[in-house]
Amino acid sequence: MKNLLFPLFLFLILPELSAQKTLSGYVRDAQSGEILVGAIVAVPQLKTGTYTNNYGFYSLTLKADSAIIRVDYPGYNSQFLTLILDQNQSIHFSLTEKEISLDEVVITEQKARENVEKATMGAIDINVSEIEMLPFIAGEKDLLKGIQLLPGVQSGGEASAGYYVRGGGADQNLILMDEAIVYNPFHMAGYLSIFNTDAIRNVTLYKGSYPANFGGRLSSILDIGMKEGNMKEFHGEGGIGLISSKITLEGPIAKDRASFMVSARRFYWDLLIRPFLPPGQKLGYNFHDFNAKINYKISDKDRLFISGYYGRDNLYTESKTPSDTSLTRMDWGNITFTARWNHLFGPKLFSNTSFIYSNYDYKVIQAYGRDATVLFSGIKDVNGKIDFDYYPNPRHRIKFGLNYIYHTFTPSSTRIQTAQTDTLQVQGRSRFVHESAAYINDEIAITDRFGINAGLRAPLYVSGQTTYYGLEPRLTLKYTLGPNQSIKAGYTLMNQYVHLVSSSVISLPFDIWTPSSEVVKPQVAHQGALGYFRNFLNDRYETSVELYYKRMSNQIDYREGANFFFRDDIEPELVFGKGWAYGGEFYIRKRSGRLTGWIGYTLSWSWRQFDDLNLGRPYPAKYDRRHDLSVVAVYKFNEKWSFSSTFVYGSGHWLTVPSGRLFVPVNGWTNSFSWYDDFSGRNGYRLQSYHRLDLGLRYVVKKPKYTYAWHIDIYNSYNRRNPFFVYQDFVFDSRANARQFVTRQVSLLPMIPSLTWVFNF
Amino acid sequence: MKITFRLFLGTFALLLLGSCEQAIRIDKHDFQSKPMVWALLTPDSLPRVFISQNLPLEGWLETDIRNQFIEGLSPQFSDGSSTETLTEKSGQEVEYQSFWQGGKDSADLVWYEGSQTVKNNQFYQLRFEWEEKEYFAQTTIPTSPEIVSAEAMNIVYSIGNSSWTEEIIRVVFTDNAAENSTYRVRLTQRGMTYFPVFDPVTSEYLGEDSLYGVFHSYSSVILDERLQGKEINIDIYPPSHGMRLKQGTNPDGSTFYYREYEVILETLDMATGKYLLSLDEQSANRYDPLAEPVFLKSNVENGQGIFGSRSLSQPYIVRVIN
Repeated sequence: MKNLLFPLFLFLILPELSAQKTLSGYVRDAQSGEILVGAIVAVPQLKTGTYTNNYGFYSLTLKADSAIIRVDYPGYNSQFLTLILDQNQSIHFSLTEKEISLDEVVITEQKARENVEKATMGAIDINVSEIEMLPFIAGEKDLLKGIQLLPGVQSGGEASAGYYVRGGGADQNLILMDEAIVYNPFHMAGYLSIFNTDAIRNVTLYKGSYPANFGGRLSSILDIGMKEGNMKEFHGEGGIGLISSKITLEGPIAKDRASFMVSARRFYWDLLIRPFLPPGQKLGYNFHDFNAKINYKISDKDRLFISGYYGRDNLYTESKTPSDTSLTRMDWGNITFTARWNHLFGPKLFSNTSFIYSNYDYKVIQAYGRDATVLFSGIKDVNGKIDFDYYPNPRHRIKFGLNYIYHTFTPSSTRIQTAQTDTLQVQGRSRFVHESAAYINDEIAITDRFGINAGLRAPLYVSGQTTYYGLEPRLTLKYTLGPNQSIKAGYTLMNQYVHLVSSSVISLPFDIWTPSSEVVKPQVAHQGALGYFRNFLNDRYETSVELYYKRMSNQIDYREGANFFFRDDIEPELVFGKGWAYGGEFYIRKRSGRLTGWIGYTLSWSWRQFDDLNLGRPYPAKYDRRHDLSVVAVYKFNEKWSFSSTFVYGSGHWLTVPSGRLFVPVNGWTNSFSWYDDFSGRNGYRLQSYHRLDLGLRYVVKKPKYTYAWHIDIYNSYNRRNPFFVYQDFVFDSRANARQFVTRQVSLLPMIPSLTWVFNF
Repeated sequence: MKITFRLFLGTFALLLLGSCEQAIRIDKHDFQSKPMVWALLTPDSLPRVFISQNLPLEGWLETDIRNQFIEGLSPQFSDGSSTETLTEKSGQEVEYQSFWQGGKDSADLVWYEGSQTVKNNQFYQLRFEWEEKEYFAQTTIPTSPEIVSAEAMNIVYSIGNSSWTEEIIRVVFTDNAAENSTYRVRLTQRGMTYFPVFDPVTSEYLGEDSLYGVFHSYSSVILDERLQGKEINIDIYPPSHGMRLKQGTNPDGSTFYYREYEVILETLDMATGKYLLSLDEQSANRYDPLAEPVFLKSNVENGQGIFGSRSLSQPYIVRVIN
């Protein structure tokens, strides 16, 4: 072992011993002081460079007497700086936003080739402003709906912001908002996500080849960072729509030292329908979100961020008569809190220490007169972590750290109160779980052409007497074939210790998170991927083809006949099996000019096999989609007018419905027969394909002190009746004077025009 | 203005919430025609095998029940050393749930029957061809069970300040069957007419009174996967009404009334137990839109249904004084 460590030590340290100098600092937006994540800091003459981390920090060690530093970020003017490299220097860059002419290439060369040159696969940086350009329903811009348009990401179907990545399940996506785990990212039972785009700064989706600092889910990581707040001056933005409104305010608390950002959103369907309800009746649904963040620069070496989110959905119905009152109320929501401390130990070592709290719970209240039943369930996390970024030389970017989460799972608990009895509390058994991990990751440029991103993560999970641990290797290889093309290959192993067991019948916010135990083993996935990346026409066009194969074990599902609703102990209701998924993702994107957008196409298969389901035979996963196509186009006519459209097409989802009937002795006694359902197979019926065209028109008016815009959107412009669910029933056919058995498909969202007014100042 | 505004909002709300619905067809190519086997071999009785076929959803309501049964087959029934071709029989009338009438209807059964009685602990195979495809199943008759005790008792349940009493009959027995067996208990009352049924599989039971009420069985199917050699209780909740009362005489000459139950314990092979449980679960969840779909289990290669077997205990008499 020593024989191996010594050369490694020399490999990392030797460059230090020669006459090298390190530049380090932050890259920010000159106007707002917001950090810029992923900004390129390069020295073209030395053919070397780096990019800023999630906190806008960079570190670049150079072996030269002088250098011309070039800093680039999309949409910003490049900045050049000539330096005499006589000592280590701390240099912060502030980039000014470009006044972009419509025909100009807006992506700088270095940034444009990042997709080709970086040793990462399946990672997509999502531009929030681009999401805001897309047409969506009723003026609500939705981050997760935008993510559904990316190749390899499939939607949960009609009216769903849920997404499924490379054949994985919904619970296999880790969603982090300022590092806090978000357990239920949806409002309106999945129709909208909880992420208010006005409060979001950066978003990265990892579909495979995950960096070792992430873990705990099999299929994807969605890393969302909230805005920090403008350090320079006070600003606001907002929108008034037909069903919701929102406002975001940000500004300095102390100029260039501390800033704040607050954002609020309210959905008011309950207010809209109130005038149409009869007296004494209440029926409504609403949700609200609140994001806040404070950013404090303690010194050049220390920064503090405190951020939080609070969101809640309420669905209620109340009926009052002179003699009685009945009430049903369901509410659910997330709370997150993150406190982060950035510290610079030196120009090459950056650290971030975080304390995170996350909570998701739901409550159902049913009351009639003086009798009431309250059902409650939830999951709560307290999380501490420390991450280091170490830049020993330009050929290495090393990340290492520790992460610890204390989970508290509260399964369904019930409180019953009646006029006759005392309050009865039936408390589900809370479970306390420790989940921790240590990791190290190095992004290595072996040569100018060949790069490796290698990582190792060691998770440890303890729940009562049950302990699980493992090693998760992560490896991505990149070989550059030319200035604008490369091939990459990757392998990832992931473990997942907490699981969301979802009904195969319907998706509700009341799905239950359950931890691993002696019975419920951790889910494990091995994923291999191969990709070819190429840019064309001066990087105006970005293309890629990625092939993947994923094998998953210890997959979880409900046993046949299980009724998941408000079970205290769900383990007896679970069965375990395996899954595998494979496919290809094709992506072409036009990144500049009047017309921008992309086409993403995914051809994929996803299978499951459980000994106790489908008579042990393999079956397609519910969200197995053979074809998935997204076409996104934004056209800017001029500074005022722009037009956008999205078209999506996907093979229908699978559904388990009876295909026939069996005439069977009831309970095995051959003196009485009855009809039973004959299923052709689990997920044996594919719903009709899903397709939709959305259109959007923007009119922007810029005034010296403020800007406002009108958004006209048409969702589902040709009124496609996309399937939401299918049910079977008997109907009486009066013409035939007989009962008929029919299968009916319900569609939810017809063509919906909307008008929204947005502003910022 | 106010009216216009309300109209506008109302139209929008309707647009947003107006779900649309259309009838669709379940594609016929999803449907595969298969034979459905039902047999529960019982020692000392003749083997009976019912073979019906599944029907596609479209048109199943219009199909005559009689046409459900597959006639003209030549099923081969084998005990490993000898094979016989089962004989087609028909004529027995049974009740079934009718969707036409919204209630019950009756139809004649068609089945295949052997000439030799089934033997204890014997291995049996069934093989037949239908529409150029071969179907196969096998079972081994499980060991006869013995009831250790069966008695009526009252159990008190309570939630908060409320409590109530339920009468149960607790059946105790020792799991002495081979692995992969299941148990269920049948509670009957001779001459009871509340559920006037009879068991066509075991003809010997059609003696004396001939009418047996089989009012409890399915909830007591238990799978013997970790129970080897253990003592097992099964609780049965007898119906609270409709029972036949018998009159007894006390030593002092006064009279009293009691109910008399006959408890029979069955050992079933595991495949049959799982099949019966799947029947129960599908029935129980039929009208629950949130329940996971239940597939009927099967041990018939290429087909559906069950070629199962069971053994019966001696009847155990339980008396409950009213």
